[in-house]
Amino acid sequence: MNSELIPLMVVFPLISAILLNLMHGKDRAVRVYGTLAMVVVIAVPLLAVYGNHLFGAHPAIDTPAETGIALGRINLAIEYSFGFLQRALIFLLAAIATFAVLSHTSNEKRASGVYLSMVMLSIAAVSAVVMANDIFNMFVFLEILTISQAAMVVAKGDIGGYKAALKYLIFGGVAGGAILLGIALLLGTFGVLNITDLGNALSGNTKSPIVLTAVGLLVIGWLFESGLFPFHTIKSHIYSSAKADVAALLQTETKIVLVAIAIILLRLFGGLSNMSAVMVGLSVITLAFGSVMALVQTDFRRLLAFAAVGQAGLVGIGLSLGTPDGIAASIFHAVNDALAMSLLFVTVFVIYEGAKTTEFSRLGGLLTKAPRLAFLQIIGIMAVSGVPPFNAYQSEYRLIGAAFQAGYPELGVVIILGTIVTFVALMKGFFLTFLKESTAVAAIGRPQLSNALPLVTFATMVILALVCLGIGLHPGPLYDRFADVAITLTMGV
Amino acid sequence: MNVDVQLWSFVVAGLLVIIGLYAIAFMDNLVKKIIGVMLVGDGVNLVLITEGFKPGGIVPIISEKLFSSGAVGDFANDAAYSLPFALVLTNIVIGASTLAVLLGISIKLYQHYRSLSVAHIFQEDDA
Amino acid sequence: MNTKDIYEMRTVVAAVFLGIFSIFVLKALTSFEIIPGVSYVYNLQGPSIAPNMITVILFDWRGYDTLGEAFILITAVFTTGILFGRGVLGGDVKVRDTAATRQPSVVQKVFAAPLVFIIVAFGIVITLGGHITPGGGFQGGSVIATAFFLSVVVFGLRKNVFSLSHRSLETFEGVGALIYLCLGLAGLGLSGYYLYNVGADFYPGLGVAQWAVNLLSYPDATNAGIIPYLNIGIALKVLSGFCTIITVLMGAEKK
Repeated sequence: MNSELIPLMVVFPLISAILLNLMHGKDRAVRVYGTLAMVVVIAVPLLAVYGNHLFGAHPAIDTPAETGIALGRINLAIEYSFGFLQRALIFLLAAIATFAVLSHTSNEKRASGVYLSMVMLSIAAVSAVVMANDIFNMFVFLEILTISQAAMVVAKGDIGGYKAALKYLIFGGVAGGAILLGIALLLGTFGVLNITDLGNALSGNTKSPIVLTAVGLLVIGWLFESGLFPFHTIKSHIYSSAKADVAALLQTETKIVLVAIAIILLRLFGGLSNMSAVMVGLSVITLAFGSVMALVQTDFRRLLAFAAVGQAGLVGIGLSLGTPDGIAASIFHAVNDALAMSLLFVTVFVIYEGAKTTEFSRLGGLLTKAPRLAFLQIIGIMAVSGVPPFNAYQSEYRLIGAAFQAGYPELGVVIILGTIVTFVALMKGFFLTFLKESTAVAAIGRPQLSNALPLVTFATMVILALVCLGIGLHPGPLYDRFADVAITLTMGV
Repeated sequence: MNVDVQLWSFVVAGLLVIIGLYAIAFMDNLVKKIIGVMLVGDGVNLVLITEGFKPGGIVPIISEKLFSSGAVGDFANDAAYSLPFALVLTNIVIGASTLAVLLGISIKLYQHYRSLSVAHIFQEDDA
Repeated sequence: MNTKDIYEMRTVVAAVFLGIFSIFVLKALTSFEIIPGVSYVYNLQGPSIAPNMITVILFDWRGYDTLGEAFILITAVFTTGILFGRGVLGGDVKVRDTAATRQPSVVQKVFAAPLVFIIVAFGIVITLGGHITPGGGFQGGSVIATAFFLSVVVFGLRKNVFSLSHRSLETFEGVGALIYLCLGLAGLGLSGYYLYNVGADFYPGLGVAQWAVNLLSYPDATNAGIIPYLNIGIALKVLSGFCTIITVLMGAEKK
């Protein structure tokens, strides 16, 4: 079935990016168009019909014998597939991006069209990666994503941002090269780029050294794009150098891309136990490093950045297990964690806007000045670290169950330990910011946090907190459908 | 002397990638690191180009004579594999774009630190 | 263990991993067996659209990848702009032009100006013949951009042969990208598939109206359809993108 709205999820943000750049300098036009565009971006994934879209209308054909492809039928066109998983992830992205756009248009004195067009480009890129059923198309949009994320960090205009972006782009160039080399090896050996076809051609063929090298290269790309172990410091550097509202968007994008690429890897090389072992191992290391590094930070933004990276490791564990339960729980946890982490990043954004610093040595005693903020932050902390009745509890509980069921009870213990360390780190941040007696903030002379709470930001925080609570109380409707997705996925393998 | 062009082209491509990675990992100068990133990209491009090579093949552009005589099947049998070339063009543009941004950032860093040494630029936040 | 030890350890680990990686990549590349794959189908069906297979793949079968590729360049152009103050959060920062004017020597003046025109003509030929001969929008656009580089290097940013302002370059870029996006939307509206080659009408069963086919088919002996128009859009975009990047990077203050 062909839905005409599927390409619009990518094409509309691209058109908006061009228009917003042309409007740059006309303040009012940028604000109005940016807000209206987000309405469309949110509406399209809800209205689109499930199905596949073939770009250029080229159909699948019977394979001619001269091609040497061992398949009956192959796809000629680039294909997008859109189902419940894609709708959920793109809607989540659009919702968080809407907050980033609104936060920009309502809080900044001068709206920047170029900056908003970068947000649009990253939305388009993530949507494309989520829907792409073509491995080269995924690569192209990953590159757009890398550069536009670097641009959002650079837009802050300070030297720390430049350094983070430089590191990110250099390693991004290497990771992009690795992904493309992997694609080149697969293309030369199997002759197709469509992921479904490639998965069929690969099944039972995964032992040759070329395939193993390709797996390794693609896994390197996945590790970079999702900020897992060898690249965890780069990713957390990016989060902490960006403005906190952008960081909320960045970490959401990272988690969505993590899920999307891991699913592609599972569809291609599902039967390969070595790959799963490596992916699980690196995810566990990420969880450990991220949580422990979060514990020793002296700056709230850096603390959150490392906590976000650690949670990405948690998402990676379930996906790498490759069992239906693990995949479903991981996707569910990615969504929950993106929501709860966004809430935390927004609270820190407010602290930074009010106090102009997030270093613990200069914060303290904010509880009396901003009680509402403290309340929302404690909700965020509980949601992230899996305290019932919030959403991450539901997904972490299922994740641990999946680990037990897959025959790795040790993983369950690791997950619990990681969660506890994250909770301690975040509580430390909360204590040093809100509870500790301090005269430093008074000395800065800018303690008006409660008055400085803009309506849009406050509304976002309340909505995010309510959604976290809502999913925590009624996980069924969302989780069951993720479970269906995971079952169809593993059946295909 | 009969040299396997394709094999040696692959070896050179692999060496380009490795030299690029070496430059990224072990060179201190920022511009050299950037050249390393570009070398990795070029190595991958060479892999793709070599994949498009077909021994004794012709350029994948059909002549009018061949087309009007209806020998499209022969053309498809003889022509070099065309898909990798299209992918290479995409990757070249990606490389150029990344290069532009990286050079822009290094200009900014140079203006601030008056140095292109990575050890100097990252010394305060390198743990 | 102090910082220096950690740094040395890191170097050793990196060297070991680089060694392992090299062995794997070289082993994979030397044991590579290539099959024609889907390229064969493209070579078989492509001649009925246009003679140059690579252009046909770039703009028809994988036209959507080419759109993404164009947007990578756009992203890079915007990012370079942001780096030098355009669109930074909290208001634009004006950068002083230091390379605004140059005094070219006689030899430069005599040779550069005619050469610029020749290069531009060559670039236009490459762009318009992209579907028949080797070439296309990317190649043509970058050739024209080299003419711009030459003229900027010789005459300076302010008074060169092109005398394009930053604003008009941006408009060119936007127009080029919008040509591509809107031709894709035309395909979506008329046939239900994004970037359907309406002018060539390869699959008549989709019910595309005849007037649209006539409107969007390129008037020459081939059946290229919208491919030449896409080429023109891409050429405009690449040309102005590269010109913007060079303008911005050259305008950077030499402190």
